[in-house]
Amino acid sequence: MKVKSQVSMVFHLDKCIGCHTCSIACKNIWTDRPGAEYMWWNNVETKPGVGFPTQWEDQEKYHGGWELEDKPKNPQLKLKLQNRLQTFANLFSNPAMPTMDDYYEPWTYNYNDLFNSPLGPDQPTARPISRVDGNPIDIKAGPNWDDDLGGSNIYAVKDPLLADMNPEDRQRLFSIEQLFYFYMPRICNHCLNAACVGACPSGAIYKRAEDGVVLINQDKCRGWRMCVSACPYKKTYYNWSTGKSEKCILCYPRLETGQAPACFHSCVGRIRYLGVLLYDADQIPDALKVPDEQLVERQREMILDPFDPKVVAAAKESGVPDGVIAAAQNSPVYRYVKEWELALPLHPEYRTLPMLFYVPPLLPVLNATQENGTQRVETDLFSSLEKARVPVRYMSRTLSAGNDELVIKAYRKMIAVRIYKRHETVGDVTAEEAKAALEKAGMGAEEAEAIYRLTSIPTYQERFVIPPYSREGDIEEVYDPQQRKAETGFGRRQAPQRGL
Amino acid sequence: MNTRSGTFAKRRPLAVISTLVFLLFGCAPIAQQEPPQPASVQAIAEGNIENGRKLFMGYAHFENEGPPCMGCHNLGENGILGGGALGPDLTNVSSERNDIELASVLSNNRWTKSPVMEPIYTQHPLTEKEQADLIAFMKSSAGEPQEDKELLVLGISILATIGAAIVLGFIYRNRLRRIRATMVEEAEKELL
Repeated sequence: MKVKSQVSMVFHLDKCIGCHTCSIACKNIWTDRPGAEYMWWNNVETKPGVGFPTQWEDQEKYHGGWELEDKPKNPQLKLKLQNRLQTFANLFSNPAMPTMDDYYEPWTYNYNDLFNSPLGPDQPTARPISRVDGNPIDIKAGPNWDDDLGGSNIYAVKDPLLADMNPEDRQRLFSIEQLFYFYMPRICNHCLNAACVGACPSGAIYKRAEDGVVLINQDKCRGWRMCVSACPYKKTYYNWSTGKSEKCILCYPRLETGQAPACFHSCVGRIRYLGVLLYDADQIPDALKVPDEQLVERQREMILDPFDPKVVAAAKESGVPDGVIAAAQNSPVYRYVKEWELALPLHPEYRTLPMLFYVPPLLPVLNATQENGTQRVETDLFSSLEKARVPVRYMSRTLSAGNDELVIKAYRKMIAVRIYKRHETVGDVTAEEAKAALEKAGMGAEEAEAIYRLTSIPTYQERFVIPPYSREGDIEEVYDPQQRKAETGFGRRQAPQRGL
Repeated sequence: MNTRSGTFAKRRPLAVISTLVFLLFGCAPIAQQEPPQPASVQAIAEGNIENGRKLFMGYAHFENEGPPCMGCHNLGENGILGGGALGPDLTNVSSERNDIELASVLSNNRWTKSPVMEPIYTQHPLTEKEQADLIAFMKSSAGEPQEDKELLVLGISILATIGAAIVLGFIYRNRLRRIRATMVEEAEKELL
């Protein structure tokens, strides 16, 4: 057993209000630079919808992620994009490269027109101009162009996840009473088996040993852009100004100083949780060679119980510091993913072992029935779950590679917690009904209470359990921190510039 | 960028000195070069036609690494694609210019000089022997048919370009293209 630690994340989609504050926090800190305008290391998508870049989930088009070889005996994992020889042959012309239009052409407005226009009968306007070439453009798309357009017959109907649903179900989803949408905030998943790392011809992408953050070395990157194509989540971006690729760094300078990443910190709905998971790295190859439906369960098996003395001993032997083990024991992510099995990885079928997990949204809140002018909670939701507005099938295509059982299990727990708390706080649900709900979900009252506490009223310290980092201390033992005083700092040769 | 990197600041004098040393000695041989001599009448008489042909077509290298004549000139029936079209056709040059004039052009010395060849061959002068061989070759070719092969070359270039476009287009036929624009156009068409 080779125990490693990974800073992992949970996004509770039921709490996301789609305000895009996370995206703005990230943009202001990291991607407000020439060449990075179109990058959204964090973006929020409306689902059903086409996402950013357009239809990124359609890997028949984008060729991202891994796939198992089509062999009956001992199939190996290979990049969907290309093998090594093809990488070499396509070095100068990457055929699966999204065009700028599939993201969007970044723009600003020519505000000078407002001040410099001659006197006339009309109000002056600020024309949109491209931030790539500076010429006036007609805006055709943006990073969240289909925001809130859940029933759009241009965007939502083209959601790749709806493609294999039968026509009646699709029809139903777009009828006016059945419309639904929810928000899907996305950052880099910091995968255990990252396709970007596997595809890079320069070996510039690496996974940090101590926390598993996937980073692109800007000095080694030669801009071949194979990572852009290979990442199935399209979370590496090519900076056309520096000629290097960039991606979410999980705000590691903030993590190393004990702060949550900016998108986590700024989240208005407090949907984001961050904590350490201990996992067994030896299990990775086998966990990736199972059929799609078993992928989530195998990934959960890889994640180890940090309270198990055997695991703790193995972790110490593998060099995981005591502070990180303690952080893993307090991790909210461990509770959501492994203990309660509420959170599921995004598109596990891409076989990258993403370490960002989503709690599926329970929309609409609950079916309410009218009784003498009062609202009453529907307690027999389990039979109607399959008829719920958000089809289980859609969520399982998103979060469990088509395994409906896992999604239903998570939904049953969430419904049971609500019924149980309704019984406690409002009292219009009887104790028997609450008990029956908990039993059907297969959990006790303590677990329901714990889920409620961490979901609804967690403190900052409960949401973000950041492990202690020893990187700075370790560096100081070898290098004198004063040695490079008054120089340009580490790494970048150009001073960062803000604005246009 | 307010502060200068420490190591470079220390090494700067060294960089300046090494640059000066290079300028002084590295460029010296060019400055001291003697002007090339045109081939003597005696040498021209001993010119080797076959040797001249090789030098002209670039099968043999000039001693001072000058470019072969065929790069710019055509002469008789040399090669399938002929010579270059930049300089004049040299098939009958020996009937228009005498040996001394030819030797003068080839050496960039004395009476006749070419404004194009002078800057090229001053750096890479031809030896007397080479000049003599070339003149002998040019004399031998007088009267051969002059063929203009520019159209042939143009035709081959166009065909090769089209061919390359077809082959590359086939190899990359499944490349990613225009997902968003196509999607929106299709949806709008369906709605109308």
